Amino acid sequence: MKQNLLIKDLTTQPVPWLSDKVSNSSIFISSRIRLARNISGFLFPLRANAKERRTIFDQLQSTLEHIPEFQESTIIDIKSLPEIEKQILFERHLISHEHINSRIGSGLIIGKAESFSIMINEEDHLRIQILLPGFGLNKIWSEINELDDLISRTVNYAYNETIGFLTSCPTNVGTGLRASVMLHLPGLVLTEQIKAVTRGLNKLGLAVRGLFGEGSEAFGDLFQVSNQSTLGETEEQIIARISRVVDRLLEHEKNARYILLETKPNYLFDYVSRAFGVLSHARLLSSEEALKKLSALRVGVDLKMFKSLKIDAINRLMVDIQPGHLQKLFLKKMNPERRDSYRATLVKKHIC
Amino acid sequence: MICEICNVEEAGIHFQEIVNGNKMSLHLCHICADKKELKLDHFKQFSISKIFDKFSFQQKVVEDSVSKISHLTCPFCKLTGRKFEQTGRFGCEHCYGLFRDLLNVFLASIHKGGVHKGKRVVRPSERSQVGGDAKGPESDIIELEHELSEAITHEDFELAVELRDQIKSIKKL
Ligand SMILES: [Zn+2]
Ligand SMILES: [Zn+2]
Repeated sequence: MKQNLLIKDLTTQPVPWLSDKVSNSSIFISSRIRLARNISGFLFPLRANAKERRTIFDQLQSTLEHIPEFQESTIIDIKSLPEIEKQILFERHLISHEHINSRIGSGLIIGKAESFSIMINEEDHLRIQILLPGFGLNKIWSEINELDDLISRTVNYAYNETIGFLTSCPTNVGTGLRASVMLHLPGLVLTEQIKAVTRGLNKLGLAVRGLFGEGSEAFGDLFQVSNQSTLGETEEQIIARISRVVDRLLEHEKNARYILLETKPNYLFDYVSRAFGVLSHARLLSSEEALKKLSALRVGVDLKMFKSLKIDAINRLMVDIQPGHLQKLFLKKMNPERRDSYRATLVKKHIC
Repeated sequence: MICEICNVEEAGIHFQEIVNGNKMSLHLCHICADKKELKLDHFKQFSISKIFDKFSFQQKVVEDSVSKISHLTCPFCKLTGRKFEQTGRFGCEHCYGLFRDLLNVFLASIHKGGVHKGKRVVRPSERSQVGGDAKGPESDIIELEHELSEAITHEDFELAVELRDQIKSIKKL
């Protein structure tokens, strides 16, 4: 075993996540913006028949191909994909749960190196998305805004001067913009403040969701904060509102961890060490348990409890332990029990 | 009232559903309701009354606005008011014109006002390759359909017949 636990002398050192650089990047996981757009003259995808959806797919393909920015992108007919590939796209946050149950004309465009993605014929004709690590809504907005303009120079969007971009669901009308930031908040969960925080955010018109968006459980203490309203504010105002709140969440989280370390250090170290114990010795690991324990391990890395374990490695594992990625990695289809065994092997290999 | 699923949180959302002919009611907190919504969403059953519930409108206001649209049918996508009520999804861009009475009631409340303040669309420079022009006879029909529904609401059947014939003749073109 190369890995060592270094619990000694911790309290004599400054708390690392209060020195901004390290902690921010480990609390902010990723940022994302998606724009909902529709093409004028076509029924919305849920209302269109198979033939119309096919036409939309084909016309978008032949039009977007001519835009230089799309030259190195890939277009995928989702319906033709094997289940496992769809699962992988879902786990990488490139398609939604709805899009897995694809129909004729369901498509996906992936920009070079996953720099952007566009779901075709999901609930709206186009769902344009950019996802970046860490906190970076402003950067994403300037990129996705440009991409959106490029597309709208060749695709005639459904748009109304008074209420903006027209979407299948009126809760998305206007900007069609959903911005979200994914945060790792184990401190708030351990100190049992997360419910109160969630309620507070709801009152501010922000939604708090789990790892996979709408309705999903907050596995591994990962939470997504996003705007609920899309009309009546500029895109910049929506983003500023989320940024302000997320900054405060960051402070709350740091505080919670600080308090834990001050008042119950043994509890905190035990929490991390137990997780390490399970991850390094378990023979069977469900994805839920693995994610939970990896979340604890992340806290340990922030606490500098491990010599050579890096946040990046844990982030990588958090993706690789999911069913689709796991099966792809080991190049075989497995039933859940076999997956649990392979998952345990994989995790052990990377943390020990 | 306490949430019926977790028995912990205050129930802020109230569902009524007809299951096998029996009226079932369910009182949930926001957290549990979100979870329920996922399942319903999954089957594309996202009801407009739920949107209202979510933003705690008075039942009376909801019923009034829903009854106003339930007899409408979009001439383009054939979406009925009733269907929209069930799914909460429009069928095409023209639905926004047709169901604007309902939208006027709740858009401003679920959003930060009812007027778009975000970016303006960049229109295709040359003739567009994908998508048609939203203007044209289509918008006239929506206008007439809207007047027709007003006429029916006010029981002005003479006007209603006249409008209906106008719509028919435009559609023939
Ligand atoms: Zn509840
Ligand atoms: Zn319509």
